[in-house]
Amino acid sequence: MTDNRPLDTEANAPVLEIEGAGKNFGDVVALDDVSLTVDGGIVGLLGANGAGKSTLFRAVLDLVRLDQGSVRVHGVDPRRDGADASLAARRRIGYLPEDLHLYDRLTGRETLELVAGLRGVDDPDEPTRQLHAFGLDAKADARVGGYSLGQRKKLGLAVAFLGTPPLILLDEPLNGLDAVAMRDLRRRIESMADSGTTFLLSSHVMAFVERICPRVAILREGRLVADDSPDALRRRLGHDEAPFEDVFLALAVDP
Amino acid sequence: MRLLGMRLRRAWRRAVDEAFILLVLGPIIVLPSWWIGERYLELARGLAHDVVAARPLAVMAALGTLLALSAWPGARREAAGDVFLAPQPVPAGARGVAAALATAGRALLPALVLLAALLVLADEGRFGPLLLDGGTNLALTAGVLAASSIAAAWLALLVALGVGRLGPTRRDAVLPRFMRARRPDGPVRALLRRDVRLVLRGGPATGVAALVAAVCLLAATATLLDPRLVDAANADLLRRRLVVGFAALGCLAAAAITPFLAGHQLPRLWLERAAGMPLAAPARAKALLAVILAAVPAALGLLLVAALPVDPLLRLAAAGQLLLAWLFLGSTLGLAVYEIPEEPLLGLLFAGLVASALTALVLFVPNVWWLWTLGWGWLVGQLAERSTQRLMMLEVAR
Repeated sequence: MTDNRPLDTEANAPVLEIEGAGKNFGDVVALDDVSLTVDGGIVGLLGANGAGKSTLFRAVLDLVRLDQGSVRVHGVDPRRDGADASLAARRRIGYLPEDLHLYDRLTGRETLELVAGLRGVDDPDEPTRQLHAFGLDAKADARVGGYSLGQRKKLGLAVAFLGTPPLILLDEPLNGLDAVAMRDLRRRIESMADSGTTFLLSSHVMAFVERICPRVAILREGRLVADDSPDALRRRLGHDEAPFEDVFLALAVDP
Repeated sequence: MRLLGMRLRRAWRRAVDEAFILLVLGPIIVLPSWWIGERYLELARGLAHDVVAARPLAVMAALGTLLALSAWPGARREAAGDVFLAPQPVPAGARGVAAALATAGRALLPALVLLAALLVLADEGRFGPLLLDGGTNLALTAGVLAASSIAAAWLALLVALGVGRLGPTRRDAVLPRFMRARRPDGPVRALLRRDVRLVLRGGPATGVAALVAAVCLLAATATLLDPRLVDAANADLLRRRLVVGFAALGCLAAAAITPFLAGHQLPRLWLERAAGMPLAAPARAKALLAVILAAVPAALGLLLVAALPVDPLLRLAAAGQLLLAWLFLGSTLGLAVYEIPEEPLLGLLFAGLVASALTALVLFVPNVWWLWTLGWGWLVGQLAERSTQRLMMLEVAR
């Protein structure tokens, strides 16, 4: 399992603190003064395509350097605390990217063994456990190149969940999953959140988000325009009976 | 026929897409390489005092260049590009024939270009003696070059189509004992295990690199067995240098897989970085991998060195040279792969030139080998540091 003890830096710090995050790619504003604190539970990170969700995920992992602001994971700020602390923080984050590139010539088990070796997951049975949890037992020793889209997504999820890290970032986890897999994933996320794992996930499937996320943060052109529960956002817009999708569209897309 | 036409159109579009590389970068790389190579050949000819020894060197250098140029770019793309044909009512045999013809055509083109260049140079009298002296038939040489390049391309195609899919999926039982003995730290170990698996399953450029390494070792064996060298004035020195030199080239060829592997892995870097991989780990893993890959030709080269008909002390010296060459080539090439990981061919040229220059010092000025070893120690430290910086820049740029 991943070492879930608090890091030395700030033992009582929130799991994730983002303060004034700003990032430009040339003339494109990806993030504009985004502040968000997450400490337990399941938080939905929503936004239209290009709103900055994936950039924010990558900034949390220190895979994108912010132009302004800071990101602290378990109290660790990579720029302030240095590379070693940053690596220690990363090993306590599970991540599923939207654009999932895997090694086609490795098997599912070998992919998980690679990540286990890098993340410091010592339990040799953990890859098998994750493969089983995502229904990949039969494909465990088959090469990833032969996986279907859904199976690749499940393997990506197994990578993110490997070692049960205290913070898991899921960027579009539902793409390619069938209804059964979606249901299983929802149950697993809820169960792990009850046990103390923090989730930050993005999805365009609003029914799933509304059902699983007690709190949603909505990005619009890089700015955080809402951060509340789905019901509170409904009330804020006066759409008490409207589907959550309408609320999302009103906040994230409509002029 | 329509399939072949489609492939030709696709090749043309690809060439147009890569016009910058073909028309600008290519000449920038090829012309200085040719200039440097020519001086190496002159040096080799001066050492040999015998055109018989220099001619195989020239032919092998040309052959190696041909193999590299011809089979690299496309056999894998050829196999991958067929995916869209799978649902079409095209017989598998027709697909195979079309792929083979297209691959052979692509292999033949650089062979013809090189042949034309050789003809021009032979006319000018510059390389004529190397290729024509001793009764070598130019047409025969051209035929061998063309046939070899086609064979190499077809073998690469076979590797891409077959070995990569048919090989067993779990081969960690045959992981070299070397890996266990060295016991690198956890992340490096995990990366190295992944790299070895990818190479064993026909990773990028694996087939071609193995073939070029085999050709180099064959050249070393031919040099050892060539009776015409016995009568040369300095046969012992000449034979020793050629055997060690060809074996070192074999090491270089085997280690040349690493830049292509690194390029192939770039889009998947998120997997390792998000898992907390230290930035120093990939280059260290690649250096270990290159040393392991080069160990095979080095070991075979040592067998050839042991068979040298010279004084045992000289054999020992040659073995030492080869071991140093193996270590220098593998480690410097592996550590330098992240200099230009986005362009594996450029990366190989850069890393290969650095590694070859250091190795050439050991081969041609062996008396101060300790000085070169000290230089190697400094160089690998610098390269390791640079690789960390390069990966950081690469990550930030994405």
